[in-house]
Amino acid sequence: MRLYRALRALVVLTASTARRLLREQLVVRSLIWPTLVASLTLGLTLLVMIWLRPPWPEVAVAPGTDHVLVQALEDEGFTTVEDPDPGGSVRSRRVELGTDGRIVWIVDGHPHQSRFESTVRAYRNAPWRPVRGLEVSIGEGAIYGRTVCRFLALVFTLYGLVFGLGGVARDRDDGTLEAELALPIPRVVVGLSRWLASALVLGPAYALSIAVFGALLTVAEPLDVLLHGAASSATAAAIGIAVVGTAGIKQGFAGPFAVGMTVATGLAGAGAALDLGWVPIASLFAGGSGVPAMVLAGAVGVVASLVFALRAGRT
Amino acid sequence: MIRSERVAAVARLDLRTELKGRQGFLLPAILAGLLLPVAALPDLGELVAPREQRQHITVYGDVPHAVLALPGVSVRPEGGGQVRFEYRDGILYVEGPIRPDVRAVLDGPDSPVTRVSVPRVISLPQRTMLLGLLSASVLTGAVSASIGGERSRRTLVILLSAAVARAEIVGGKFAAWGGLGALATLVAAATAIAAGHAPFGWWLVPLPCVPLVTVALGLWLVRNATDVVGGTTTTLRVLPVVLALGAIVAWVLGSVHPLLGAAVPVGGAVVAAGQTWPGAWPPLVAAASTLALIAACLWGTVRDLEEAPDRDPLERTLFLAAGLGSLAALLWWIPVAVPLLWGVAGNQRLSDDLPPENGILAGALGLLAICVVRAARATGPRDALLLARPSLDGIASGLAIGVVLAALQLVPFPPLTDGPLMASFSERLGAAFHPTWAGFAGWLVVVADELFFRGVLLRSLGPLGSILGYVIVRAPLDPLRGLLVGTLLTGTAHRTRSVWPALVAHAVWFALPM
Repeated sequence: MRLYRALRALVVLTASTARRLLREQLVVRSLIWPTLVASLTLGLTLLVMIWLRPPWPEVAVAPGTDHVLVQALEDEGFTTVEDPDPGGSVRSRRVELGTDGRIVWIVDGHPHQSRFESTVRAYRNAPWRPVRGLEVSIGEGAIYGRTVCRFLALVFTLYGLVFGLGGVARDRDDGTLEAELALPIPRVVVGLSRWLASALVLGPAYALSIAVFGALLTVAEPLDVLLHGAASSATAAAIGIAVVGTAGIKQGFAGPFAVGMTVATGLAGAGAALDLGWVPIASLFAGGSGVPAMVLAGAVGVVASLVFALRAGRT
Repeated sequence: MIRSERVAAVARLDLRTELKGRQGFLLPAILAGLLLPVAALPDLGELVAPREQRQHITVYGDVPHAVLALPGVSVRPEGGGQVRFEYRDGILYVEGPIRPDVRAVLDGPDSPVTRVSVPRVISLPQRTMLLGLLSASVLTGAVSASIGGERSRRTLVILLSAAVARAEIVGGKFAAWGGLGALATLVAAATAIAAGHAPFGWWLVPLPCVPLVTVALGLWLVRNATDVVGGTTTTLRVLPVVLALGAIVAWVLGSVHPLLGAAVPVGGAVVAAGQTWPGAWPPLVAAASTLALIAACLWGTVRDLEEAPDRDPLERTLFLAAGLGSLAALLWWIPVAVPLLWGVAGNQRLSDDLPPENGILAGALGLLAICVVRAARATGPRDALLLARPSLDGIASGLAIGVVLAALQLVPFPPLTDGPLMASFSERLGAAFHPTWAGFAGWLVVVADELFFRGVLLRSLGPLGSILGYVIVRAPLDPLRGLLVGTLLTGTAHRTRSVWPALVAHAVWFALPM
């Protein structure tokens, strides 16, 4: 009977905490923000690329350069300007590209340097050509998509920390926590419901990010990426709940939050270097199956709730 | 009239609240732990060679054996290396930074083309830029808690009702956290100068402006936050974007003329703190533009501190319409239509290979997410989505409207499109009009359409808002069809006071052509 009552309380408290999070406009905006900003940035980048298409800038060509090469350059969209000393003009930065038919002078980093050199190499029948922006295949797009989603997961991980840590601090400040702790249910249920609600809100929001990038680039191993991200954000929420201590009325929020943020970002970086695919947060950039990280995240959530119950009992 | 002793008292109170107790040392410790190594450790930038001269490179694709035999070249069979090789029509195409020795082996003994590279002089920000950025990032929690925390503790009301002016409260909070951040960066800068890693110069003027503007912006962002959760999630999402975007814009404009870059608020200070531009004027201009923004943010915070500006009902409705409409449009347009831009930008292969169903699925999930949030906010979720139990008449009219809609599919409406590309955009945006190719994901769109346009929008904005929203989001390039479909479906839902008949109509319309 006590177990049934505790489980029922867990469901009710989890649902009400999740609803409270979703009712807060600033929180909802934050959940959608990473997805919108990242996908809009990609869209705007594509628009800039479209805008930057030909005509290309001018090229200095030496007098007497074969008209076939001059024509080829103009066919590629370059404007040719006859110059007695194309090398000198490029060195003095009057123009950024120049050729005499055999030598190409290029200012480093010119956006069309590969196309320019490639045109001259084609004219000279060279066996290889530099190229910028070879068409990304869908397989490579999936790898880029996965990388973007991993970075987005880091943002959701920081949100998890805020939900865990800030949620307890806020509720202690406004008295909600004291009311919940006074309920005739085990204290662990109070912590567990907060952790579950954070995970339930953050997981689907991150899934939406993956779905959007699955459309824009496709995402390699989307299920594992989702599991790693969900495990990370849930673990961050658990860390927040466990370390929050008496933050709120009795102690500041800024210190524990700064520690949590440093630990979370440090752990993500260390995971990539040490290949810790089974440790949540560290697993974000390590890859591999997301199941172990998810299982461990569940265990961390339960342990964090127990720690919270112990600490809440002392305050 | 701002009284300095009250400002100091508010600042002391804020610092005491956040830095008290056993964990009070954490924030200063983190500040020191991040800033001092950046200030005192040797410069890692000198160890990193330019891209074309790196000793170790990773390659992938059709890599020639001669390249693989070069020292420091390692292959990545799964892709994603630095240099990609691909044979097409007997020509080897190489993408990425090409080292001189790689060029030499690819060209062979008789090089047909010689490349002479003229170095481009780019002034990159130095490590001192990091001092300001790190200090700003550590203060995120403190700034968020300073107003949000006061609100949830209800101490802000007490302060506001006491004889403390709003400007004094905001000034005190700004002095507390801006002062701490500025002091920390200046101490770190002094350490860097003492260690010989940075010269004494004008960059010291914009450096403390970075944490100061971060705090001022943070206070403005959280001025209406009700607690630390809302405040912190807001600062976490906005401040990094503002700092990064501002710095990029300032750096790019600064490459045209330093004063142009320096004039960018926030970004100018960030870049100038990195000793990027020579002379006194750019750092001074950067500091001045950033200080102007600080003043504007503080003024905005003081103005809005007490409560959110009250909007009249019409303004509230317009605000809601703009918010819901633009969010729905972005969530639908981006995943559904942006993949087509790959082709226009030059990668037709990727554009063709990306499955449109993925976009439809993501767009539908986005709309459903809005519905879930709206339902969670409402007192009765069924009411928010207009999920009332329908009458038999309503269902019957839904069936009839569905048949009419399916028949309308055969009518050629004049679209606002010109050429196959715009036709593709139109087809994708109106995925729910084209059941034959939308497939299973299309069914999800049907549900999302009805719950969002005939549920959330109809409930919040009325029939006109629902129809207009439907046309703008779903059929901006096929507005006549959108208007007719939207009117029929919205009319059905509005007349029956339930979304179910419209859902039945849409389902019938979607199923009949199959």
